[in-house]
Amino acid sequence: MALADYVNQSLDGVLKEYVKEINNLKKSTTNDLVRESLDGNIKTYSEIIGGMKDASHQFEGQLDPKVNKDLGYILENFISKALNDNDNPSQLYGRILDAYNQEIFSKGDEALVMLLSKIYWENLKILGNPDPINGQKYYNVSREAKENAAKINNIIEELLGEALYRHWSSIGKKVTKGEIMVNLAKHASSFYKAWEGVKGKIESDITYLTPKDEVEDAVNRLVIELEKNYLSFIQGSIVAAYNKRSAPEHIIPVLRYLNGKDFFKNLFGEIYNEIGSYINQLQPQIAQYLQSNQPAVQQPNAQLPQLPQQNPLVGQQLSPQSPQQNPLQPGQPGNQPNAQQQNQFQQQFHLVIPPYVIGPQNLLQQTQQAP
Amino acid sequence: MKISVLLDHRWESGVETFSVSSLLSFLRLEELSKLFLRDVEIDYYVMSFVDNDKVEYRKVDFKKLYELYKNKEIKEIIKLAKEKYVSISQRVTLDDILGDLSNSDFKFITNIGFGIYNDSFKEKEDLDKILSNNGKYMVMFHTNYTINFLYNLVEFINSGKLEKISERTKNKIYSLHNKILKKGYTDDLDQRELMDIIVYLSNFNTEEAMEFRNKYWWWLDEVKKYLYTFNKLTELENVINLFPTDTVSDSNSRFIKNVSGSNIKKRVVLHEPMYMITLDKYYRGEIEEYKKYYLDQYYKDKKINLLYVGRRSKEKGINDIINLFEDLVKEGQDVRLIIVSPDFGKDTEEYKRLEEIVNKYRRGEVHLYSKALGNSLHEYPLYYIGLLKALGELKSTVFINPTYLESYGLSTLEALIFGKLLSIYRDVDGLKELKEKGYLNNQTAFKTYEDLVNLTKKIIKEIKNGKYDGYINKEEIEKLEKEVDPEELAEKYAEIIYLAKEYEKIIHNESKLEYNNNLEAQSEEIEAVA
Repeated sequence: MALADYVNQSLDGVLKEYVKEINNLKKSTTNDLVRESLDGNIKTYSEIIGGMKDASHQFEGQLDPKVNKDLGYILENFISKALNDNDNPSQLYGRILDAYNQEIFSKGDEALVMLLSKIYWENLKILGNPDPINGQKYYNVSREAKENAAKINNIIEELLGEALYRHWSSIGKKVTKGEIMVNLAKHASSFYKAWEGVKGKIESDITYLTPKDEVEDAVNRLVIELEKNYLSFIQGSIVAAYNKRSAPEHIIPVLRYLNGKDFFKNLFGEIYNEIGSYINQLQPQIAQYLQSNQPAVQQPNAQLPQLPQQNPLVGQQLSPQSPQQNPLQPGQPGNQPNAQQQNQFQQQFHLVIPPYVIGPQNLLQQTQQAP
Repeated sequence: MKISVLLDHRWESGVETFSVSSLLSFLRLEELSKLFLRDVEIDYYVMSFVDNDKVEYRKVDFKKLYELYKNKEIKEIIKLAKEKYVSISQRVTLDDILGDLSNSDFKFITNIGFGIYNDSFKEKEDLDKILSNNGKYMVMFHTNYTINFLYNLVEFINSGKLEKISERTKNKIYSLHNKILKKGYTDDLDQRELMDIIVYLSNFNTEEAMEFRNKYWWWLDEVKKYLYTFNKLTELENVINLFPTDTVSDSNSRFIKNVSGSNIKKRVVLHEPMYMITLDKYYRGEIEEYKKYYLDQYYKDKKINLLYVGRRSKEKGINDIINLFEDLVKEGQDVRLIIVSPDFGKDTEEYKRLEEIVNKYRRGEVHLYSKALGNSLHEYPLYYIGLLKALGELKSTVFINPTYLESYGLSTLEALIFGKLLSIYRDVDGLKELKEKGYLNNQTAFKTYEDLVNLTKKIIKEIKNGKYDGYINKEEIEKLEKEVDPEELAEKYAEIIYLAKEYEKIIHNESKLEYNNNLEAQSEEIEAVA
């Protein structure tokens, strides 16, 4: 199932069940106030879930290497490096899922604690706290990033506290939620470290398979990109829900319910599969490309073939006339826009304020068009 | 927590820009308070002139503004601000405001000149009530008052209306003015000399002083009210005085000490917010299209452009820029002078001179953007940003600021931020500080007109050799862009308000550096608490 379908189906399922239950409750009362407040709840949850669905639509294309240029470059690099090393890219890629399943998603409730800790700590870092593993701090974080981090953590900390409480209670530890909440960052840091540990596992798996550093590096980059997309999808959904209704108390139950349905685990699988399908699609093209650029006879001083600077995959998406690709280079006659482009400019900008000109040749029009 | 903002919307240019831009900072502050779940209520008042220069107060519907802000309708917000919020505000009396201010924890007054030309203040007690000891205040100084007062006196003499003014008094004023221009700053002695002149004109019964009082009583009244306000500030422990530069901070603080005998207690130096930054963030696509239009206009030839932005007045150096244009054209340089100025009508002496120059040498070109010609760029800032960006991309435009007086240098900052333009500037107060902070290149400063001509010729040669970028301190300018962003500055305001309210940690008379270090140190604490 495609990612968007899975997300929509899951969210629709939550809402459907919720509306059904509320309607049952409504039947059991004749009090108008209660009925209206139950209607209000339906509206609230519809908005929150609607926000999350919107976010998933906005995410569409994010996993398409033709749209997401970074992903395109990373996949191209990964496949090329693997093929050059005679490795099977799909098999290498499979190692990533194995490691995540083994180290994280096979661990039941603990997986949720690790995921929430990871999100929580990434946002704490954005808000200026040093990384609990290496003590590094982020500088020059944008205003928007800080704002989103605060919004997300406002919601996540409640979920995380609850998840930690459940985890420790389930292994017989006597602890209150209050005790957890007052030291949440510290408690979460161990699980954050555990999440980060998966990368070490993948790295050591890869070094068993190949001695080539560049393959290991390409796999690491792909892992980071996969994780980035996964986490940004979850965080994007939370922010979207929050923007629709600034009510953490209503967002938290939705997330809790979704987790109960293995939503976060399955989401990872969906994202993994979608990226995997692109690897399968791209592999033959890149193999062909590498073959056609192989020198017939290796000369002692011959330069190694280089991939073109323009990513062939990403480049296909952009039209040659796109202003982003062909910015005007003033003063360079070769790059002057053609007559058609100039006409377009003139039509489009007839309202822009022109200068009033004093000049011997009166090269420019002196039309006074105030917008 | 309750915050009251009193905007003084009666002033033009820099103070008006500050007033409009600070609104964006307060909207962001409201957003921050919601984000961090703090209970903050912002009351927003604006004062403006109505018929017969009467002062009117209005309470603005801040919630409505915030709705627009949440929907990212920044253009609409700025339009409302420039219309003085008439359509989204209710008229209130000074007493209403005084009542609300007395219940506010923090009061922000956007201009220290709020007490001047204020017919609503019947007695000094009204001013005293606004600046009471209740709650905390932040009051903004935009102008370097020593230079401002002195330049007013020079203008009065130049106007020719003072028939009885003696040569001795004239010389005293001119020589003080020249001395300050030469040095680029005012020392204590200059300030005392200025006050001696003002005291003489206010109190002595000589013919010239009596004539001065007769014709410029309103100006003396203005100075008196400023001095009263300054004096009041020195008495209050609960006022944070906000300055845009160290130069304005230092000069005004010393001036206040020299006239009142006491120091103002708390000083903070923070860049002024610039609303054009917010427009650039939210309307980048639209601006990009305007940029393309201007690129299309200017890339056809390979002319060197000289850009002048400012009023058509002598203290801004308009004569120097016209003389420079003439000298270059005379020597055979086919340069284009681009002037962005509010008051450059066809009937002005400067317009006629430029026409003469172009006709005489049959070379050179002048492009004018002016309200007086019906094509003001300042009224449509998106176009202006587009123009600056286009000129920046050309890498053949030199921004020239030949001003003799500059407290902050807003137009220079705009040229640097939006155009990354190579800037030649006079080495005086506000601009000198921009140089010292690294935003302006220290090789492109000048003092005399001869320096300006030689430097411009040298730079033109360098540009033709492709050395444009070497004169632009890009990294510093990128930092500057954040420092003047109204939304980023909101965080600084929040820190100040928070610290003033919660910790009382604003340290008396600290230097800017020490204060900012203190802010930095506190910011993590604030974030952690939030």
